[in-house]
Order: sequence, then C-alpha cells, then structure tokens
Amino acid sequence: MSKKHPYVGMPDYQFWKNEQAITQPELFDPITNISFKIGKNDSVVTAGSCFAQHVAKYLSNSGFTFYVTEFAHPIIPTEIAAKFNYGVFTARYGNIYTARQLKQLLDRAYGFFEPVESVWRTKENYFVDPFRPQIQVGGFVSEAELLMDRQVHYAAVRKAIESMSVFVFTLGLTESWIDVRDGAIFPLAPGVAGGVFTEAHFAFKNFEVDEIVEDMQSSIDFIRARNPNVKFVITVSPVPLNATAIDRHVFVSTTYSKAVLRVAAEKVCNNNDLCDYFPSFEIITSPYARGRYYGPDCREVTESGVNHVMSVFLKQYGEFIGPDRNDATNKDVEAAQQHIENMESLMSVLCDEEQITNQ
Amino acid sequence: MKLDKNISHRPILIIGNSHTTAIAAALNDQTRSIIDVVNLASFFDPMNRRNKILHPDIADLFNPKYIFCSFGGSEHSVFGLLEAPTKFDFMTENSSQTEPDRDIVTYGLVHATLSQAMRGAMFNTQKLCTLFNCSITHICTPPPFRNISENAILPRRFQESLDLGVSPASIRKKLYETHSNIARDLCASLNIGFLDIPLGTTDGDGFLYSKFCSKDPTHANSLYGELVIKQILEIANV
Repeated sequence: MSKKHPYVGMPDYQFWKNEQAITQPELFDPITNISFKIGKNDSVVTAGSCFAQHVAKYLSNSGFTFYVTEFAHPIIPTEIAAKFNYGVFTARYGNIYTARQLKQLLDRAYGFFEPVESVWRTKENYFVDPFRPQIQVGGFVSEAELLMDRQVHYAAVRKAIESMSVFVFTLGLTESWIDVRDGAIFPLAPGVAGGVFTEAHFAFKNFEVDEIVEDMQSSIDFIRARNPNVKFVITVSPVPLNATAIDRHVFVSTTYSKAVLRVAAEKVCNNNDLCDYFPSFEIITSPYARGRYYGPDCREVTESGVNHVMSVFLKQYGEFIGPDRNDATNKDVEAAQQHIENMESLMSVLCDEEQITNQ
Repeated sequence: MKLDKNISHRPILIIGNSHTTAIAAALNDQTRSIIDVVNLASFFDPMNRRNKILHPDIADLFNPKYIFCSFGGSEHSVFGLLEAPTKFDFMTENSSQTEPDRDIVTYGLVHATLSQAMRGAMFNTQKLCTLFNCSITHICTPPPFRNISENAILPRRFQESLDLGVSPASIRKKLYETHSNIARDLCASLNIGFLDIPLGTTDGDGFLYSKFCSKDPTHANSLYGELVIKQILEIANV
C-alpha cells in the first residue's frame, strides 16, 4: 500500500513543530548523520575565522587531542606564549577567514607560492607578516627575524598537514583583499595592521560560491595527497561581519556572505567522503536560541553559545574523554621552568653574598 | 613595618638590591657623609636578608634631594647566565646573528618574558616615585662579563650548576641589552632619569673589563662602584 504523501514516516527532526528546542532551546541538536567519530588518538587540527578559536579552545579542554605543532620555546611562560598566539590554533597562522587564504597557506608552506608582499612595516617601524599581521605582539624586530619565524611556522604547518587525523575548518568571510599582482589574499586590508594601501596594488574581492568550492576542494585534495586518511569537518562561523567594504548595510552583506559560505560548505561536503558539515552556524543563529547566544554587541558569540555548539560536537563526534598527548613538550616546559626556578634560587644566593651596605 | 631608625638628612639616597653593594663598598669618609646606601634585603630584613619589597616606611626615614635606585638587575642572568635545557638564542634590532644549533626565540617573546621577570623591580621603582618628591634616577645594571668560564671566580653553588654550561657571551650580552632597554623604557614612562654605565668600563664589544668584575658572575666590584659614585656626584652637583 502506498503512502498517503511523501512525508509520512519521516523522522521528527524533519518537521519544525516536532522540534523539542522550541520549548527547550538547550536541547537543540541538528546533527542527524555523521560519517565518522573522533577517537582518543586522533589529532585534531583547527583553523578558520575567529569563531574557530572557540572551537580550538574547547577541544583542548574537553579531552580531544587538540594537535599543536608550533610551540614557544619552553623557557617562555605559558601565559606569555598565549599572548603571542601559541596554541590558539594548531600553528601560528592566525585567523584564516576565506577558503582562498587556506589554499594559499598550504601553497606557501610547501613553497609553491611566494607572494610579492613579503614583509610589512608598522608605524613603529617593526615588521609584520602580511598573512598573519597580528600574530606577533608589537611586530617582529627585524625582517630577518620575521623570515626566520615564518620558516618555523611553515614547518609546523607541514607537520600538521602530514600527521593530523581530523581537520576542522571554519569558513568565516567572503569579503577579502587581494593583491592584483599575484592574487595573494590578506586576512586584513593592507594599512590596517601594517603595510600601505595603494589602489594600484590592492583590490576588494568578494568570493562567490564556485570560487569557494574550488578553493576548498583544492585544499582538501592538497591535504589528502599528503595525508590520505584525513577526515574533514567544515563549519560556517555564526559571527556577523565586523565591516563590509560594499556600499550597503553590514547586515545585508553578512546574510549574503553567510549564505554563500553555507552553500559552498554543503557542496564541498557533498563532493567528498569523510567530510561533514557541522551546523555551528545553525545552533547559534536558529530562532530556537532566540538571539540569546549573541553578546551585548549582537555579534560576539557568548560562552553559553560556544558551549552549546561544542557539547553537540562532543556528543556526536567524541568517542572518548582522554588526556591530550603533548607529553613530550610538557616535559620540555617542565624542565625549562625547573631550570628558571633553579637559576632564581642561584641568583638569590649570589645576591645574598652582596648584602653589605652602610645602613 | 616600623623601623627603629633615625631620619637621615643626607642629600643622596642610593637604594636597591644586590647591585648597591659595589657602591656601598666604594664609599669613603667624605662620600659616606652625604650618601645613604640602602639594600632592601638587609635594611628591612636584617636577620634573614630576604626582603625584596620597598616598604612605604622608607619615606619616613630619609629626606634626600636625589635618589638613585637599582632595583633588581639580575633577571637577565636568571634566563641566560647558564644554558637552558633547550638551548636558545634570539635576534635584536641591532643584530641578526645567532649561535648555531639553537632554537631561535623572537625578541618580542624574550622582551615579554624579561619584563615579566622584572615586574618586582619595576613595581619598586614605581612605588619609589610615589613615596618621594625629589629627583629620581635609575642606575643601569653593570654589563655582562665576557668570560666566566674560570671556575676560580665562581661560587661553589654556582659551580654545582654548571653541567648545562655557561651561555655564550653574545647571548648574555643581548639579554643584558634587552634588560637595559626595558629599564630605560620604564624610566621614560615614569619621567625619571636613567644613569648609563660609567665610561671606560667596557671593552669594544660592551663587556665589563675584568678589573671591574666582582668574585661572582653577575655583580661589579667597588672599583666600578667608585665610578658610579663619581657619576652620581656630578649629577647631584654636591
């Protein structure tokens, strides 16, 4: 006997009125099909827009193996290393807002792309990496230091690409700034945090769906050519644009940008095995949340919003709760900090011998 | 803290930690009559000599026209006198040269780490400015020694820690310069003076001549202290 209509027998989650989050928003879990689980020994790499920082922070605190490949020297105190963006993401690439930025990061790390713009100067005459302009507090002290640090960074990126198990990437923006000479994409417009904006060299670029799909596919292929078993989780940042370069309201640009990214993410995930779309955007922006997951500025996602997103992530993808596995590095840090304590004690002894005054 | 001391009316107060010793040791009858030297450790804690904090009571005990301070001054040695378990080096604005086979740390990280280590000394300097309304000048820490590999000049405790080795002179000098830059910037922000090292005390590469080195690897001796006193008297015009 045939169905009365095609919707008969479909699961509750396909029907709006059956959603329990209408009355209990905290129960909203729009995940219906995942194609893999994340195990205790899976190294999870994160990258993307600023929302991805929340993802990284939560992963590192929740038992996933948040994979970090770029460390400060162990003699540097943890809180100072954090200020210099160590451990914010897997490596010190900073925010990667667009798919083209991701593609170009891979190309640069492997030596396939050397942008014309290599070093920017700040107003204070320090040096800034155009592709991660806010990574070094105050800037680098010299061009040589910047170039040295860049090589360390690229090695860390390569290590992450070649040994990670899971890559979580958050698409953030479609609007970007491009160097018309070689197509290099910058995370911030030249002149904002270094460099000098000139219309002859730089132009506004608003990526479209097909370009984003192509860039993401290129990145996935690039990564899997070097590490075939990597699984991907693609998300879209729920954080609205801070500013738009288009002459229209920033929220209109936001809806366009997020719509494009959402469609691109859908296409990319449909085209690749073991590549899931994770609906963090939906969890934060859905009417069930009634706007409560945005802070007072109506833009920043609140801690409770991040917790909701990541608890769903943990519930759906987590197979375990376990310690992170950066044990070797922790030992280096412990040895270095012990050395500092010993030296402080030693200096105190040396200084102790120097107590004689005329008082 | 209440100290059982009479108020001093000497016009010059030199106050700080262990680096004041070289100055105290260089005082003679004439300079002793116009200069007080206070080492925080023994002044406020004569029994244990562990105090590092500038107590406000100091303002009740001295009424100087000129203060020269030397708080801290060994923080760069904590990080770089001996080799760290993972050897490091760093570049500066003036030098991109680094020793081979080391992790290169960025200057920003070194600067931030040393600044953190110097917080206590900087706090004391800031506090001094709030306690006294007179001319205040910071005395620059003595420069590093070029060579401290001779066990003869090292205290026994120090020799016991030598298994990692002494850091190369170039690294110790860069750490010292970074330390001095931080102190100089603090002085500028507090609008107080910065007394640079006496002329003629270093070789062409900026290392302290051995005749000015004390018996330990971080402090200068009384001969160096004499030259600092001479600088101070010129500034104070006493």
